[in-house]
Amino acid sequence: MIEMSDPLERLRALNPVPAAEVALSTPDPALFDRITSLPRVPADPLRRRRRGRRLVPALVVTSLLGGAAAFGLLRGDVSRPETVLCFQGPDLTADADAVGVQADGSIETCAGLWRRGVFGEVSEVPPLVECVLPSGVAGVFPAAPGTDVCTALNLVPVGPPLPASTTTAPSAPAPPPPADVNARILGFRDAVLAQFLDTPCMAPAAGVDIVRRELDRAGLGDWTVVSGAFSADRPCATLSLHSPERQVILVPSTPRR
Amino acid sequence: MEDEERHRALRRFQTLYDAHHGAVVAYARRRTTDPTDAQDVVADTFAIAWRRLSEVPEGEAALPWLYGVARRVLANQRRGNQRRADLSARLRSQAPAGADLESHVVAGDDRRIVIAALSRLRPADREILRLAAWEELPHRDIAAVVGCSESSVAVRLHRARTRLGREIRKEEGRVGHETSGRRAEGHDT
Repeated sequence: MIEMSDPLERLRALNPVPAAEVALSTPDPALFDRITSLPRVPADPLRRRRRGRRLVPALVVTSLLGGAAAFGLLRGDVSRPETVLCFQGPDLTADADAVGVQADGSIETCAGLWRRGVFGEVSEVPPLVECVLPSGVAGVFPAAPGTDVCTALNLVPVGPPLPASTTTAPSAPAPPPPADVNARILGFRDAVLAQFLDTPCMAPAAGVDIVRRELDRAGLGDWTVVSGAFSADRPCATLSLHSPERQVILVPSTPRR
Repeated sequence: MEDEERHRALRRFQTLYDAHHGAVVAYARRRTTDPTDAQDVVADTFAIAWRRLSEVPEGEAALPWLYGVARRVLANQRRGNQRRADLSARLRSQAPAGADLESHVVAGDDRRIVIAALSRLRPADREILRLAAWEELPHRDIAAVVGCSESSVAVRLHRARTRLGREIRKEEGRVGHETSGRRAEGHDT
């Protein structure tokens, strides 16, 4: 007999999906096919030790599954982005929050989160740098002066790197600013998006042609194009950019309405 | 060689998916009001599992790992929903509606009392109670989902249960008071 004065038992009695219902549930084969058409991440032994909310991988997956619609939401010039991911640490797996960019820019928007204590109590806002994330949106990371977080994370920086601290020894000459690479990636992204969003269903072969042509035109000839497993119920190509891997993935999707 | 590796991965993922799809769907449905949100949580959870298959523990430890991922996916989704609700509320000059299941459940008195009491606990306490009561997980698995030690789960669960009991008693007192108030006004005769 259940002791109903026990709060846990009273809560148990209110289970919105009882265990018997779980047993009757049947897996969705379409979802299985959609997921297994996505590329996998190679094993990373460090990742087991990392903790945190890992917002970024979730967003990447969402953009992959959402296809062109999700991608369309993220478009816009990264130098004037609509959305920015503010990271708590100089690491893609650190806690992060996605927010709309205020008029004073991405870095100041994230600085506002730091000041409000979203990332914990801090005596002052750390120096922040902005990079282009694999999804194409801007990411803002805390960074020690003189460090190049974007390059360390294999990301393209937005704007100049932070000046080195005056107390450190003179550093080696800085590498040439990658502004042109950034501009080329953005130009490529806008060019392909315009063509992909033009049609409700981009045929995979035509999609590969367009991506290849625009990559060459943008001077990104060393990027590769990876095609997912298209099927009768997912015949349309949508895009996902992965700049660290220099890869454009054509993701199988349903036609846009 | 690459084909063989993919084949192995597909086989392992198929086993994982078949074994735990129902449990992850139930986990998501127990914590959302919108079926589309629940579907998104399931899709993102298994997509992360597929992309990081090498990190998914073998055997019985796989389900708590999936719950842990689903919990983070759900938290991200809630933050997005909350931001949209806040914006919408600002535009309409109204208070935002809660996105939690607790704020939407209106039914019999006991249900209302327990759910109202639950909604007043801290999110971490709520989750630990739900994992124990709804997913029926042992302490070891709860520890894997929320990322703490097994002994810490025992302490936290005990405290959360006590807090829930206290909130239920408060809520029962409030309901009793309202009912007798209505009776005194002649609405319940």
